[in-house]
Parts: sequence; C-alpha cells; structure tokens
Amino acid sequence: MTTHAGAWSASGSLNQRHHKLALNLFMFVVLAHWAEHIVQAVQVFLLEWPRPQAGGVLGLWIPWLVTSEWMHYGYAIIMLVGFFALARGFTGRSKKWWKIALWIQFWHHIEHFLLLLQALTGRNLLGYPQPMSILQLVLPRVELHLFYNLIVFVPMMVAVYFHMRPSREDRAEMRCTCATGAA
Amino acid sequence: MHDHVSTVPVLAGPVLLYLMLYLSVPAVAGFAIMRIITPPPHRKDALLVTGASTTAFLVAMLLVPEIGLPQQVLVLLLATGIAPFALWWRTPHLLIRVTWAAPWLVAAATATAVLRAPYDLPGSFTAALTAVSWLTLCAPRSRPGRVALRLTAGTLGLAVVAVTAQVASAGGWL
Repeated sequence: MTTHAGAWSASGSLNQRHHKLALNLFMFVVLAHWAEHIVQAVQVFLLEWPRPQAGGVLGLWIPWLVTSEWMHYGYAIIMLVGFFALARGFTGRSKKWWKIALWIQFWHHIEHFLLLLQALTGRNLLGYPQPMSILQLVLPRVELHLFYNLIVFVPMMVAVYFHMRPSREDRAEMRCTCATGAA
Repeated sequence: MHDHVSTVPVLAGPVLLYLMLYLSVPAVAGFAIMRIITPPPHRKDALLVTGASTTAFLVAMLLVPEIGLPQQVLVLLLATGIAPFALWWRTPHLLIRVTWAAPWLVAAATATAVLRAPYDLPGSFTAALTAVSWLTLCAPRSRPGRVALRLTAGTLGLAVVAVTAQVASAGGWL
C-alpha cells in the first residue's frame, strides 16, 4: 500500500488499527525506563549516593534489574524491535525523526552488546578492570548512557508529535488512528 | 547505574572471542589477497568483508591487554573502519561521493600499520583492518593506481594473516 515513492508501505494491523495502542504501550515502557535513568541521576548527582547503590526505583527493590547485563541488553533489544516494528506506521516528517531515533538506538544497542560480551567472556576492552563500551573510552559511563537515552528519547518524541499532528500530506498516507485534531 | 558489578549466569571465557577472530580474519585477508586479481566487490561481498573487519577490530580490543595507540586515536580508527560498512549497508547511493577519499584513507591506515608494526603489533593490526575496510571502495582507473592497489592489498592481507597466525601459535594474545 505505497502511496508515493519513498513511503513505507503500512501493512498489518500493528501499523494500522492497532498502531495507536502499540505505540502507547511502547511509549509507556520507554518513559518508565527513562524515569529510572532520571531517578538514578538524581541519586548520584544530587543525593550523592555511591554509584553502585544508585539503583533508580525498581533497582532498589529488585537489584538484579540493574546488575544484570542480560537485562540491559534485553531491554535494548526490546526497544530496537519496537522501533522497527512500529516504523511502518509512520509517514513523512514523523518517519524521518523515528528513523533518526531508531539508528541512534541501534548504536546504543551495539554498545550494550559489547558490554554483555565482556561480561560473558570475562575479557574487558583494552584490559580495563570493568566492562567498557566504545564511547566510554572518551566519556564517563553514567553520563554516557544518560546521554544515549536522551538522544534517543528526544527524536522519538518529535516523531510521535509529528505523528499525532501530521501535515495534510502525511495524514493522507497514514493508515492508523494516531492523528489528533481535524484533517 | 552502569557502574554496577556486571553479572551473567554463565561465563563463556575468551574462547568465544578467539573463535570470532579466527572466523573473521580469513574473510578480511582472503578479500585483500584476492583483490590483487579480482574486480571491486559487489555490495554483499563488501558487507561481509567490512563486517568481518569491524568484528576482528572489536575482538582485538577485547583480547589485547593494551594497544599502544592513544584511546582517542583508537576510537577514531574504529569509527573510520566502521564507516565503509555503514555506507555499504544503509547508504550505497552515497558511495560514489566518498570513493575519492578511499585511496587516501587506505594509504594513511596502511602507513600507520607499517610504522607501528615493529613495536605495537595490536595497533598495527587494527590499522590494517581499517585499511582493508576502505579497500572495498577503491577502484583505480589508472595503471599506476591499480599497481599500488594490488601491492597494498597483498601486503595488508599477508600482514593480517601473519599477526593472527602469531596469536594462534602463541596460544593467545598475551
């Protein structure tokens, strides 16, 4: 169902009648994860907690959520799958911003894969005492992953905004019910 | 959050990494050596080679206790090595715009590999891998250019094999 060259064909109910529900669920998970990062940042930088003890909200209750590398990688994968699965429902400007967020998240997921690989093999990057990711060689870890989540979150929110308030041309290509307001 | 103690239920050890290295290096070295007599690669072949090159680069960073290059240079080298993979994969229509830079990047990376070889074998290895990645974008038209390409490709291929063979015979990257 391609309306003009360059538009992604929106096939399947996930990107049509269920797109709004799926997007809402995805955004809930993303916002919850983002809130955890914010709380941890407050714990580390404002409350000056030792970093190993700064577990966010859920991490204080269930510590393995924070310490498990499989958990971190699993979340990165879930987020990536969500980005790919829901991408077909976006059109025009919103599609462009969604793709930006998607590819940033793809790199973020690669960094987490590298961390997982180090935890699995017991070999850390360049002989460091703890697992390191690529950009962590030049930027501190807590700040780096806070930054990663921010630069994924912002374009994603821009995409959702344009998706909910599309232009006339974008609205004509949409097959879901996410748009608000009059056409 | 990410300064936690990393935990996994099962530890696989470095065997997995060595396996990845021994599987990816033949693809890189094979392409480089065959490039002496074969034309520029198709997209799928280039993806295989650049992907293998990037994999070998990352594995080397995990296995080697210390690389003599400054970390910022190493990150730059890695990013430069990943770029051809990203171009071949997502933006093949942009390849024609960057092919002018490929010979220069190959030359710079090869020079780095050669100059560092006597005292920093891991750093030389990573530079050689970056050079092979950009080799996938080289398609010289002049005869001197083709000669230079063949000499460089053969040298890089043999160098990558030699380093990996030394690692294998030594029982690991110590």
